[in-house]
Amino acid sequence: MSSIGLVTHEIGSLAKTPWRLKALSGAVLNASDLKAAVEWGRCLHIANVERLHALLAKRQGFTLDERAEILRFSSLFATKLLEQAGLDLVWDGEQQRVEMYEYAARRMTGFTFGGHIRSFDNKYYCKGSCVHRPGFERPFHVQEYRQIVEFATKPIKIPLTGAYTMMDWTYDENYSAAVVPGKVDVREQQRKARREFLEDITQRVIYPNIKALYEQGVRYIQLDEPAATTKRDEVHEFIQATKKSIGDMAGKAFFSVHICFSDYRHLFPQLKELQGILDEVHFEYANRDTKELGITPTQRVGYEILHQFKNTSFKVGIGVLDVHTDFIESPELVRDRILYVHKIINDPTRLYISPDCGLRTRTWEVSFQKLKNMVEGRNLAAKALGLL
Amino acid sequence: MNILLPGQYPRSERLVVATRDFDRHRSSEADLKRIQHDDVQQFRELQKDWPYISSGFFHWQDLMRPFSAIVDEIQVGTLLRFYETNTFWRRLDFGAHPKVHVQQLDAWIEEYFLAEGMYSQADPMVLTLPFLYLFRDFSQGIALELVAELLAQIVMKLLSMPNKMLCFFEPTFGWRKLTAEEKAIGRTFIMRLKEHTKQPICLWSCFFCVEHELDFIYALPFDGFGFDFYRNSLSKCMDKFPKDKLLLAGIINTESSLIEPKKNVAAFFQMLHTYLPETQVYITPNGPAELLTREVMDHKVRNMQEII
Repeated sequence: MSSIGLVTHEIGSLAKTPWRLKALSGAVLNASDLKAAVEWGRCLHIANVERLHALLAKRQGFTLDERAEILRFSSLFATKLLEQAGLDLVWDGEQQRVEMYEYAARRMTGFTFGGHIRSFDNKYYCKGSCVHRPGFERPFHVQEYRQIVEFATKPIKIPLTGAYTMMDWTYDENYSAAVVPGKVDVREQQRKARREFLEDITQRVIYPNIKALYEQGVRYIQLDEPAATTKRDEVHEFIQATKKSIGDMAGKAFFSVHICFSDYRHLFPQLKELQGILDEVHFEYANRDTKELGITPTQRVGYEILHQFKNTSFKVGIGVLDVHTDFIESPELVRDRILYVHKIINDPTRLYISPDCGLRTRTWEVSFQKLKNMVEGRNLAAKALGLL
Repeated sequence: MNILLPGQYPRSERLVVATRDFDRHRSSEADLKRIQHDDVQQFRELQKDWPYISSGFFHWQDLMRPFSAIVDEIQVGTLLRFYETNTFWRRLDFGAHPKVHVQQLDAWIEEYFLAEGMYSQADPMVLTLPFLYLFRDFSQGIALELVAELLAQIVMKLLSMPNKMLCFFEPTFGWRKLTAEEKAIGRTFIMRLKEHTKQPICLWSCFFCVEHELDFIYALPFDGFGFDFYRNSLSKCMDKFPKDKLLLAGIINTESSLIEPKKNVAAFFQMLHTYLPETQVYITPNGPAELLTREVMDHKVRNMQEII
């Protein structure tokens, strides 16, 4: 970990490499997939890249054991990419998951899947339905952690999708089945159904999964809650679910929450109830910021909401990389974003530096360069603050 | 009683995959068009013998995007969360002097509203447009008066086709407080349209409780009003409901994949019968049908057909 504060970490997913995607989906690998595997392997100093090459040379028809080995390599490569970029906290960038929602929902009982829903443009996602009271058969992030711990040389953080987001992104067929449209109390009935659904996901799925990670030795746990502000009237429910999800583990491990592409104003002041439970609160900021250098409020317009954190005990997770563009933020731009935030928070040990969100929509080349610049920008900021 | 399906209808799983393949250069435009054609045909079959049918807008990306193809000086901008859902629309960024390409309106209507010629101008259809406030909130650089001006030109052209019902989609009531000026512009806009056409124009609200805005809403000269009855009480909406207007009853729940239980629908109808004759009622989704998968939405529609 960084001894100077300004801890760097990644937030969520990295893209999946073509060789991993094709091998697991049954598509045929081509020569450029194999070449990319070897080149990235050398770039990341992977010791047994020849083994991966030999494995992928089959190009198609991989057995279950071979697929598992490819998945392990994918996890190894992504973890090493984050380490090579110089991050202080690492994981494998979601290489073992299909994505943050579906991976978890498919491992819960009581869920079914019926097809795809538009997210935006022509992009679709798979949305589940809760048809019975949710539960799970075995903790679904422990194996992932065991895999990463085999090869990570830096502290590991495991993200998992939080209870409120799991509830909000799922159709409810179970709790609201008796709601009659148009009745005088229809809104209250709907609200009650959502509360019951959230309570069950929190107590029966998310808390025990976090507990299982904690018992495995995980000490950095990130709750992904991009839906936290989606329904303005339910911020209280999100806060309560977060408290219950962490429960008796508060203070025993480092807990962060990640929220993005939302109207954060809805979270305040209620969010402050989570002081002493949550360590870090991470939002996306770079997406709303200018690309100009400088540390004035006009230049750093994307970071306005940070004033809300001034008199709190939270560590402040600041997104300094826009994940929706191939624009490579210079180290100087990252530096200025950090220095501006430092002007507000005035404590480098409270600043945690990261991208806005997961980098899954960017190529590895772009992600690697962005992350390396982020670390270099952190170092420039540390120098400017007299920490180096 | 009839069913009405305004707005975008969900693409089939086949079309979702075909669109992705086309976008990633893995298939031809002809392949995509063939599957789009199938989607339209199947959707048309689902609506057989209905008073007003919808084309489903299968190749639209959201209700705003087609305007970028008919109004000059528009850039398709950043993603904005679509109210309290997990879907996003793109903001339209307007230049200083936006104008409708009047000469291209026929071709634009053919492409966007008549499914590239799969429907004829004479077909009885429900057409859907965003109403003023939604349009303004998902745009940048355009005043509400100008939104009204642009929309009026387009509406008048659309309603020059016979046998049409126009639904204005408007979730803003209940989402935010409208100013007196905004309300006045909305009222003037609808009055102007109704002076021009006798074809029905309806307001389709969704997502939020609008009970506190009913006096304003009912004073607008629409021919019908749509409500989300998972957010609004029927009795509160009907107490002052203008007796000569149509009711678009949003009871097909687009926020749940549960097929509406017959007893719940029957309980709704029992309440409804005390207020309006069936001939003045259309059953609709309580929000965009696109929030559900095609399979589930088709199932819900068939289920509702059986019930009514």
